Amino acid sequence: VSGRLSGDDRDALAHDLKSSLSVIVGYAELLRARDDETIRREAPERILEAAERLGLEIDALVERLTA
Amino acid sequence: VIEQVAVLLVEDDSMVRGWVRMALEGTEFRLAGEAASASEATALVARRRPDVLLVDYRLPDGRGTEFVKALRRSGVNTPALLMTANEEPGLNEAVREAGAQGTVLKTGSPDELAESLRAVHAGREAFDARHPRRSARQGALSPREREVLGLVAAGSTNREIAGALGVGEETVKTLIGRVFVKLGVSKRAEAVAAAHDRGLL
Repeated sequence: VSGRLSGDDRDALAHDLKSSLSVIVGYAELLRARDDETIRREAPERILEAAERLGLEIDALVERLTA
Repeated sequence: VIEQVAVLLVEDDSMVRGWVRMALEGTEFRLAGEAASASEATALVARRRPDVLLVDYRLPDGRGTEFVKALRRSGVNTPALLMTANEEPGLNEAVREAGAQGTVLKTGSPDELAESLRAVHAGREAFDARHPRRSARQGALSPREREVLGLVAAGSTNREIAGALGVGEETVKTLIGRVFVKLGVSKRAEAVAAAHDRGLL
């Protein structure tokens, strides 16, 4: 990857991927730390949304690297 | 009665904003406002007068450190905590130099976030030790290299820099090349951004 992307692009890419990942981890941590009905109801939805976004970001990256 | 602490959240990712909202529920912190960019946040800081700022490091219109620096220049001393999704070498130093009081990882637990906010609100520092320290090599620019970098940041061409310093263009290219290596970048704009982050300009 380093040979094909500039430093700025690499940073932005890492930021986007890690941002989605952080949402997944963050909500999982909330589920673990809090016994709360709202969290039990909403966190799985948010985790699925972030996982879907992460998947799209990975697809875009693969497409870019193989174009 | 627990004292409520007003937090202004500056984060462009709506999913992360949602997580912060939920993570702070049931704590003494309440969101006094949410901004998706530094420019939006600047207006909100003046209007809402929050007790603490929680700021993403990478905003669409610049680095969170630049936002905090601009606030400090305008006399706003509200404690600030910078958030990142990544462990970034030298981040704690850059954040401290910008005048903020701490760093927190978005991948941390909700308790870590609340503890870090509590610390900076109480006037303490809360720098996350998972960010690797800045290496000696990162900041070690010579005075001449700093001079060149300052002129690059001002938008000068190599010819203009050569004229200003009384040296040849090849010398300028060599100096810029050394700056790139030391900052770990490959473009002029990246060098300027990295230099700002590390308080070199």
